[in-house]
Amino acid sequence: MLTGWVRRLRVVATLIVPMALVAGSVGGEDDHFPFGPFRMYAVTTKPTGKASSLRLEGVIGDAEPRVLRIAEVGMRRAELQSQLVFYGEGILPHLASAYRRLHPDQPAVEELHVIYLTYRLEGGATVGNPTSRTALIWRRHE
Amino acid sequence: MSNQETSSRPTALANRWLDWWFAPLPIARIFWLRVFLYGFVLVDVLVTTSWVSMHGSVSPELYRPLWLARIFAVPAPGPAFVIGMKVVLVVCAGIAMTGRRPRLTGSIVFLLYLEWMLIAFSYGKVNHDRVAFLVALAVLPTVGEARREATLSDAAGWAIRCIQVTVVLTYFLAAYAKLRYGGIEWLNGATLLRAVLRRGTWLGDELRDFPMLLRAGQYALVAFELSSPLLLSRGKLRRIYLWLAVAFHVVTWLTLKISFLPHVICLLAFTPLESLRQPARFVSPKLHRRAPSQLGSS
Repeated sequence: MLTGWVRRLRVVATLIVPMALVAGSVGGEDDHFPFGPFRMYAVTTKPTGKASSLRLEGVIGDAEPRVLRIAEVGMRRAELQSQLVFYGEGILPHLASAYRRLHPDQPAVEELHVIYLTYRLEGGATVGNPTSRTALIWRRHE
Repeated sequence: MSNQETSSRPTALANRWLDWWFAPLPIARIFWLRVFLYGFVLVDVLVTTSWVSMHGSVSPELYRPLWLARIFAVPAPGPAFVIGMKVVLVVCAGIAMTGRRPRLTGSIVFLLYLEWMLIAFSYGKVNHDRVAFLVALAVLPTVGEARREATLSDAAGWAIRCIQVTVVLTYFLAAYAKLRYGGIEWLNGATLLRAVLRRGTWLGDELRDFPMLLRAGQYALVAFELSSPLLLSRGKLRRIYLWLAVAFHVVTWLTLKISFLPHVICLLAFTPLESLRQPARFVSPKLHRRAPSQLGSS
C-alpha cells in the first residue's frame, strides 16, 4: 500500500503530466516534444487545389541518374521536406556528404535533383496525371 | 446543507478520483508489460527506428535540437555516440525484460530511450506515436519487483492507469489538434487523399478512385478519436473499442504504411495480461469466472 511521500509524489505527477499534455496540445508545437500537440495529419488539405510529393534523384559516380531513397542520404522523407523549407538549396551539399559517410565504399554523389510531383485536386479527387517539376539542382563541381 | 456536507463533497470527489487512479491491479500485469514493452524497445532500436542511427552520419548543421535537448544542451550526436547508446539501451532493456533490478534498469532504459527519441526527432520531424510509450517506460520502474502472481498492488494500479490515460489522451487530443490546425473544414478536406498520394501502399492506391470513401473515413477517424474515453470504461464497451483501435491501426498500416506501433503496444495496458497463463481467459472473460477481487477488472 502506497503511503506518505511516495504516494504524494505520484499524485503530483498525476496532476502535472496530463495538464502538460493538454497545455501542449492547446498552445505548444512539435518542438515541445513529448508535450507537443498530437498533430499527425491535422492540417486540412483543400479538396480543390494541389497536393505534392517529393522525390530525390541523383547521379552517383559515373552511373546513370536514378531515384534515391531518402534514407540513402540519412534522413526520412518528412525530415527532408522540413529541412528544405528551413535551409533551401543549402541542404544539398550536406545530403551528398551524408551519402558519402553512409556509403564509404560507393562513389561520391555528383548531382542531386529535388523533384516535386504535383497532383491537381478537384472536389477531393485527383484530376489528370501528375506534373513533375525539378525545384533544385546541385552539382559537385560548380 | 450543513458546512460539513458542503466541505465533504469536494473531499469525497477527490477521494474517488484518487481511488480510481490508485485502484489496485494484479502485479502480474506489470510483469508482462515489462516483457512486452522492454521487448519492444529491443525491436524498436534494432529494427523499426534503426534509421535513428543514420542521424549520427548527418551533418551537425542539420541538427535542430528540440526544446528538451536545448534545455540539457544535448549536442549533435556523432556515429560513435549513437552506437554506444544503442548498445547500452539494448543491454539494459534486455535485463529489464527479465524483471531483474527493475528500478535501475528501467530508469536507464527510460532516460536513454528518451534521448534516442530526441536524436530521432531533432532533424525536422517529430513523430506522435511515442508519448504513451514514454510514459510507460517512465512509470514501469516505479513499481519495483513484479512476479507472475495475482497479488493486488496500488503501485501497479497507478502505473497502469498512467499508461491507460495517456493512450486515451493521445487519441482525444489528436482530434483537438485537427480542430486547432485544420479547423472544422478538416472533416470535408482531402487530407487522407493527400496521404494516399504521398505514401499509399498498393491497397491505399486503390482508394484514390473513391474520394467519398476517404472523406467518410475522415469523419470516422474523428469520431473514433473523440470516443476514446470509452477505453476507460469497463467490460464490453472497452473491449469493443480496443478491437476498433487495433483494426484502425492495422488499416492505416495496410493503406498508408503508418506504423503507430509504440502506441499500439501500450494498448496491452487495457488487457488482463495477468491471465496469460490461461490464454482462453485472456481472449474472453466469459470462458473463466473468477471473483473480481482476484483479477483486476481495470
